[in-house]
Amino acid sequence: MQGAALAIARVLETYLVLGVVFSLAFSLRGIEVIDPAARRSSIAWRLLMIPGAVALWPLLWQRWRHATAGTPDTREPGQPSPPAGAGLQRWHALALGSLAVIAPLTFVTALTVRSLPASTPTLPAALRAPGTAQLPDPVRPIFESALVWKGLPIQTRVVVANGRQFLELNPHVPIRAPSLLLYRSNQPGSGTDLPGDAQLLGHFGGSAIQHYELDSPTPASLWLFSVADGEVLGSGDLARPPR
Amino acid sequence: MSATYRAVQWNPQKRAYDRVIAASVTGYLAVFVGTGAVLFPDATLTILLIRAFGTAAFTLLQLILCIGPLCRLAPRFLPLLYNRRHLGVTAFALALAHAGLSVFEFHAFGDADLIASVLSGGPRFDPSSPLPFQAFGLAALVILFVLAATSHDFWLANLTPPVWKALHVSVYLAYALLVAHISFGVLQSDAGLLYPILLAIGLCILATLHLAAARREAAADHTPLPDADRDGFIEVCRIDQIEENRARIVSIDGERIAIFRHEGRFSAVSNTCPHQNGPLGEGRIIDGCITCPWHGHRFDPVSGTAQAPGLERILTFPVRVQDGIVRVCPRPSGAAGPNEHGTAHEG
Repeated sequence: MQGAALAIARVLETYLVLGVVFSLAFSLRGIEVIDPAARRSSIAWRLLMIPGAVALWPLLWQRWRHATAGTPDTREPGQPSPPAGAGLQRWHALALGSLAVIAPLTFVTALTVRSLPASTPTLPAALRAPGTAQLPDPVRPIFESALVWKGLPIQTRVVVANGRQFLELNPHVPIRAPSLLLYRSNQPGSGTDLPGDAQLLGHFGGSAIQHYELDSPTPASLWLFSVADGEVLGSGDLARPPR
Repeated sequence: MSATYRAVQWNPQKRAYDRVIAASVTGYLAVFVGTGAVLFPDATLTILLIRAFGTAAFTLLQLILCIGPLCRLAPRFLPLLYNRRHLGVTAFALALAHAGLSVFEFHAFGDADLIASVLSGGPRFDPSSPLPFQAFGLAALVILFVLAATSHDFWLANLTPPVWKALHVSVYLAYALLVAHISFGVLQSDAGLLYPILLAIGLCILATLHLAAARREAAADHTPLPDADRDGFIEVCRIDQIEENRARIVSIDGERIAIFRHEGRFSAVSNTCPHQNGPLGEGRIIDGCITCPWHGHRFDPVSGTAQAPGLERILTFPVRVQDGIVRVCPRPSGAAGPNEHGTAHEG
């Protein structure tokens, strides 16, 4: 599949490159050789003819060669030939008839093989909607920090509630980027690769305040990884809680 | 056809037509993106634009394919046909914007060849699609490009009308490819019912209109006519069956002839416009000239010559009117100069 696609791509690209080169010469000279009515035409009109010349350059090249060689052309320049009449009507009917069969068949086949995704995608527990960690009352803040990722300030708090420690992120503005993952690490928060000890905290997105339960000591840094881009978008050190 | 070429042959009607196209397309895109941003706040602007351009292009193509049969069924739709070529170019521009944004969003940042990436971007690239749906879209885009690039009268004159028209019939192939593109693309990845229902409605409308128009034309083509009299004239209709400045189309020996009525005179001409094979008999007589409903090319009803600066000529046929009955001779009048038997008075 890949090989065939590459071969088709090479043929198309070669055709287009040759067409562009030909069309420049054709729009300057050839166009008025094959059709004298083009002699008094404007530059804008000649530019407008270039895409068509790129598309049909083998045919036009042949016409140009015949016109230069003086091969008689039965067509009068600038005038249409007689209409095709019944032949064209048959061709039109054939095209329509084929469409009437192919299009509905394609549509029905596609509906038959359609395997719809579940209406609510099932995600791994760590990736379920952000902020799903339930925060028991009362909450006791330990410390606050302000991380800036890609120019976006995210207010960060570590709080303790009912003996459990939670990380609280407040993005302030909606996060529209899809597939952002939040990691924690005990290494300093700098660099472009996730540290070896990075642990996934969960999915990050939306505009609400989001909570992630921390089942080990407060991390040294937080990392934001974009699945769509396949790279770290940003990282930041967390200030250590006051002793 | 003019003696020289101009980039765009503007006139007030075409300008008005194009203004309506521009306003409608801009309004559609704005409403689609605005509504999408409200209903799907997580969707990025690029994704909304990709869908807006794609749906606009397909809707426009659907409209283009409906215009022909609509005009045959109801002449009040004829203004839609007048500048249909600009609709086609607009549909291509929208499809190109859809394709460009899609390639930028989904293929641009890899190390693979762009076209090869699009062609092979099927089941491997999008597991929800069983077929490489993007290849269908690319093939349709290539066809729409050729049609848009050859839409000018220069191509019509130099490819010749039969070849040009046959080439442009491939718009039906482009439509079929787009149905496949949608069916194996968004219909596989989008769980909603909106797109399948809209596509099914579009297919049904198109099929119904073309069937109805074909049925009407077939009925007209196969209407039995009386035998010719000893002078070769065939009775075709009563004079009150032809409206003033309009025509009645009859088919005699496979040749469609349009019989026009204008200020008490009847004239018969070939129903086929030499410009783009438009049905002259579905047009009107304006300022004393038969005016093709498709692009407004004008012909003298008596001599069949095109109005200056046109150079073409259409066939004319002798007509007789007697006792309120219109008779036509299916042998064309002389090729040179107006034929004295080309018209007949109401009597």
